Amino acid sequence: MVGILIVSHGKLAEGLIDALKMIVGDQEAVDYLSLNPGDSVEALTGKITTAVESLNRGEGVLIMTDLFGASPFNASGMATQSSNFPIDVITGFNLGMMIETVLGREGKTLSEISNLAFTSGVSSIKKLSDLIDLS
Amino acid sequence: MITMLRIDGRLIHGQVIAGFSGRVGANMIMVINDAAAKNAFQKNLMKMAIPAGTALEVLSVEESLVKLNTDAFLQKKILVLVKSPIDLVALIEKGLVIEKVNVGGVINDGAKIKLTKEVMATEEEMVAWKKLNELGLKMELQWESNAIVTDFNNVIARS
Repeated sequence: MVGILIVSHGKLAEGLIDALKMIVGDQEAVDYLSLNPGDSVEALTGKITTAVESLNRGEGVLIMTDLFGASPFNASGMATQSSNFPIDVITGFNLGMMIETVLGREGKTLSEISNLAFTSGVSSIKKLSDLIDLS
Repeated sequence: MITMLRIDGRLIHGQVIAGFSGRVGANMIMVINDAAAKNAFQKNLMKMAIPAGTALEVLSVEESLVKLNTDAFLQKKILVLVKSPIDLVALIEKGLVIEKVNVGGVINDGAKIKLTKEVMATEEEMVAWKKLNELGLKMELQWESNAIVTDFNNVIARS
């Protein structure tokens, strides 16, 4: 099973995991890390490296981050360079993406899971006014 | 020529850098960092995160001093980013002329000395900050491009 690590600014990742558990309960090989005020990018990269190692069940790890180009994303990118198993990073997470990805992992490769996360993340964003007439 | 020099421990940090780059009208972002200059993967990460239409150079201290003095680079409007005050002291000692520096989030590995909410320093960085202050460099602390400016010379003088 592909491991999943959520990395965010502040408590967003913790909150996302909390919300995920409300909907789908405790899940195997899912963890989170936060960038807190006073943390260096290097220290975060080190924490990510340790976390993905413990999440890896042999099929690799998908890291989900909150914001493109920001430190959780950059540190995750750097962490992909020091591992001997496959890692992919997806940024711009949302709860819809999380649920589909976490539940869709059985028998899937990292690249399949990473594609699933991307398509479900994009398709879970909807405007109500596009779906029904609000006037 | 350099339109802004910013010290930021995160170097290129997505939206923060886009804000400063737009404000000063930079058409080039130059990261001066010896480790990043040797790391092709890190350079690719940086390239993805800069505003469209902006050139990127990731150079060592030595390379940057040579390039900044070429005609091609003198015609550019360059936002320079360094990770630590130590690198800026090195640049100035090797001949870089600069009057003002913008200071962002500077929390590098091992930093324990808290200067402000945004800036923590290692012992070596503290020496460098004091040196920059003694050189008369005007230092302005600004977390992001719309944030209020704090006189960072004062912060260093008081610590």
